[in-house]
Amino acid sequence: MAKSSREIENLRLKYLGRKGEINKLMETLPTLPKEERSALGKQINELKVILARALDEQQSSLRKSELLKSEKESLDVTVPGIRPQIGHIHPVTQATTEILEAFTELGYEIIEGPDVENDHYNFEVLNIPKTHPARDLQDTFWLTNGLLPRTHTSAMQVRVMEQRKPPFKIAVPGWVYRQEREDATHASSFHQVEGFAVGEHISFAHLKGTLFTLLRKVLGDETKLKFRASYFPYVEPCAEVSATCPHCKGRGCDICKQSGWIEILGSGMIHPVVLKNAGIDPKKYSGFAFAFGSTRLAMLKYKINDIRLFTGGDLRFLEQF
Amino acid sequence: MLFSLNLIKQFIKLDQPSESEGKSAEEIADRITLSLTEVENVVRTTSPREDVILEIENKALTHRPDCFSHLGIAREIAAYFDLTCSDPLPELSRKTVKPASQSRNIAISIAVDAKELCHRYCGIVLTDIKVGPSPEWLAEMLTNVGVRPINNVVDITNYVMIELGQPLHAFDYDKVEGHEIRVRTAREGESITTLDGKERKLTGDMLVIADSQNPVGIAGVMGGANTEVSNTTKAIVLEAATFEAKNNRKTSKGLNLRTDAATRFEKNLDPNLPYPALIRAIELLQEIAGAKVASGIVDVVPISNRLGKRGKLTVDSNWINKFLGTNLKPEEIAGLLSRLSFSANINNTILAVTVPTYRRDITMQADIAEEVARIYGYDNIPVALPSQTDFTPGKNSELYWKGKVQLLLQAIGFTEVLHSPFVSMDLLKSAGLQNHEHLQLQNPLTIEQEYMRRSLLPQLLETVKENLPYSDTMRLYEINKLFVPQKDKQPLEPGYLTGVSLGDDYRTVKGAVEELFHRLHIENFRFGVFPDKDCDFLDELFHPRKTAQVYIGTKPMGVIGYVHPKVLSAFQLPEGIISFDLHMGTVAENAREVTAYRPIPNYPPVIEEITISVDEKTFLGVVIERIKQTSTLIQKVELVDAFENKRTLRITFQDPKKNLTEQDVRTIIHSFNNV
Repeated sequence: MAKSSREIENLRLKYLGRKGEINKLMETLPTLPKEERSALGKQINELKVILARALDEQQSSLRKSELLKSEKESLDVTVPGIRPQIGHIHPVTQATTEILEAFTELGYEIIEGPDVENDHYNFEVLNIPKTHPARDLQDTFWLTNGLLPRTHTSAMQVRVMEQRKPPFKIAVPGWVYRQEREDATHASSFHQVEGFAVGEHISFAHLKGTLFTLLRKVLGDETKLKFRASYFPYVEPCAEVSATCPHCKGRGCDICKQSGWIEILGSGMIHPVVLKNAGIDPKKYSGFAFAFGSTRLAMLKYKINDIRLFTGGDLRFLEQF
Repeated sequence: MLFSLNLIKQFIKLDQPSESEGKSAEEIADRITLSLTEVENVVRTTSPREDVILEIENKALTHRPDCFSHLGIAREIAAYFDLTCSDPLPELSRKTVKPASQSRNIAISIAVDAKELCHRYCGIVLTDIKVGPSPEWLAEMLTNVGVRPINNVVDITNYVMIELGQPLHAFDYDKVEGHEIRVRTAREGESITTLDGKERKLTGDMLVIADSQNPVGIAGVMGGANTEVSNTTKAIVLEAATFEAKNNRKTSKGLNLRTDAATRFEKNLDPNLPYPALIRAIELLQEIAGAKVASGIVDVVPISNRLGKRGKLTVDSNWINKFLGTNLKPEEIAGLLSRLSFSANINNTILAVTVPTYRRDITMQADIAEEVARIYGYDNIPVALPSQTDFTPGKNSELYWKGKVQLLLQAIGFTEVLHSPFVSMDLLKSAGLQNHEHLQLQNPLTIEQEYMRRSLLPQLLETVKENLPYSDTMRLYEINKLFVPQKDKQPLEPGYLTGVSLGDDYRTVKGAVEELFHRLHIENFRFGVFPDKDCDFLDELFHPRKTAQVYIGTKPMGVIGYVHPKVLSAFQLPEGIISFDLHMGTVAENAREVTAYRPIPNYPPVIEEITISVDEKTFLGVVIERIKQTSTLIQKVELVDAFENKRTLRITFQDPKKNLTEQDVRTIIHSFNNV
């Protein structure tokens, strides 16, 4: 008696297969006398049917007992799974991607620029001459060759504007650098995304609308914004923007220091002097600009209380994202 | 900067008491935050007088020196709530003082030599001074706004500064040699001991106040110890001047001497302010310190047209509405501006605006627009989106492919790490890179961050090491910029993808890179002998005989292999760490979407395994390449087993047009003998 499906298959192959015993018997038929052929042929065919039936029966009973056996088997389903080894994408990359997707939906072109800048593009053309007190606002690293790691992505504004004719809408993601003593909220390098648009009809109302759209995409639909006056030499008027805290929705919590609000970015209408420096006629065109901290967004979203974790390389941190 | 609400309220007329007194300190603070700069704190004090102290962020006021005074903040508050501000300056400017009697007329000569650097100098001699502690109200007010009381004379100069915004200085008259004040630049080799007791070496571009012999003060920064007002002082020269902002800033920065005076002068003060401020101080000194006027006011205006005139600007209300996105009538705009004491004559849509002299920051139409927006309230400006149709953005393919690479590497099991570009000389030495030229910071925060990296690998190795206590296998990568110095030019900033693996063998890591290329549909990559002499990878990081150069097309664009044992030992890392280093620009240039699908084959493949013998010099990759080249019917050649010098290859044959016969396959395998 065959004990397994495989044995049955082997038997089937051996007797009923193309080169099996039955066929071999069939092949001998032509060598036999004519009168014996038909009777023997009939017998062989009967044998074939009997064999096939026996094998089928055997197989079906075997399958039944196999199924019965299978059904009786059990498995400890609480045994731990073996998880595939998938990597992680850095939280700053994730935050940046999210911001850039929002920019793309609003029709912005994404451009990157040099991290090492010169005084001209980082300061002079942005209406911050060497003697300007606003230079104190940004503690600057200087390289021994006189260049500097840019202090803001705004350094790309004039670089881009010099090469293009309005209208345009541009987003510039990138790392920026400040000579500030590092602590939980200050890092010498952090990531931001600059957004700016120039055209014949760009207004302060458009700046507000753009920021509402963008920040609601990133921080949630219920986000409210507060625009308040501030000062940067390269924008006029200047607006500092706060958003309702995404964690408490403005009710007040530890993240927003109970205020319900989070300072989120600086913005404004591009200063006419900056447009002029880029060869764009400020009488005909106007524009707005703002810079969004991707590092800051990541801190806010994930309640990260130490900015140094981002470039620290601790996998116990990175593997959470 | 601290402000006393009591002092502010001196200027805001309370002729509508119900309204203005109805404004709580918090309401006032909120509105300052919305329309000027952030009020960081509101603190109530009770003893001995009730007051509210507003802590105002002044970083956003670098263009508004007028707001470095209680009068300036009072003007702003009055504008926000449409109240009347009783500005004392016009009346003070009309006043004059004369010596009480002819006999008292004590001479002081004042000359301004550096005419470009001093726009106005007002001085007077006061006698009969009784130096002593200030009255309680004065000392208390100064203390409340963070100024340390010293004596009545110094305190009054400070009080007028916080009140009206004009820094003043008092010199001990009897110590001023020759009773002469000269405003000049410092002479070669001159130095001065300032009031803080420090000796300061002066340079020829620094403006000083000198007597007939020596400097007695650094103009607009700090007075000299030699003429300091002391308990024995009987007479003073009182100074109220306007110094040129840029030079003042350069001097205070150069000496690293930040003072309340310099903080104001560097922001370009109004030259109309010294005179009324001097009058105010004289009145207080008379009242509090018994001072008697002993000279006329000497008022020097070295270059007459530098005396700030009221700015006149023409603005188009249509332009303002277009710029702000508002719909304000010319009269409404004029009304908003008048709350800031800007007057406007309206002619159709055009406004001829006259700006107060203390608003030297207002020079163009956009400045007027900002004032309109501030007083109208940013919150009241409509919300709109620019047209979506007038600009078609281009695609950033490098960023697009970077995103794909990040997703693929995540799937392959690599975790993204990001590092600051600043590295230490120690790290460069450990990596053996110290002889390559690196960009260097003049003012690093620490020696840990002095240079800009030229390879991502050293920091990745450091990260591997830091994570060793928690994990004995790791797959990490970073995509970031390197900084390659160029003579007299901006550096090159190529983007690289660098991966490290601890716990994988070479075939696994190489397979990861191959799969990455494959999924980016990069077909023409290959691995060649390392190092390719035509490229400038930092070869010393890699094992010379266990590393391959990676090519896309003919371009060497990366390396893959074992990290050099010397480097690993310097980092105190175990041997066997494998790294790949790929130029991201080349990856992005060659990456493709699926261009056309291959039809599903109608005929089954034939799979055969063959075993070959190899020797030490055999490169299996080369053998497989040659096997593949023998027939177009070979779909795949895989290495399935390696034992001693035997290599078993699994070869997949397939003809899209017919069933392959044993004979077909055997013929192809036969031709391998030539390989």
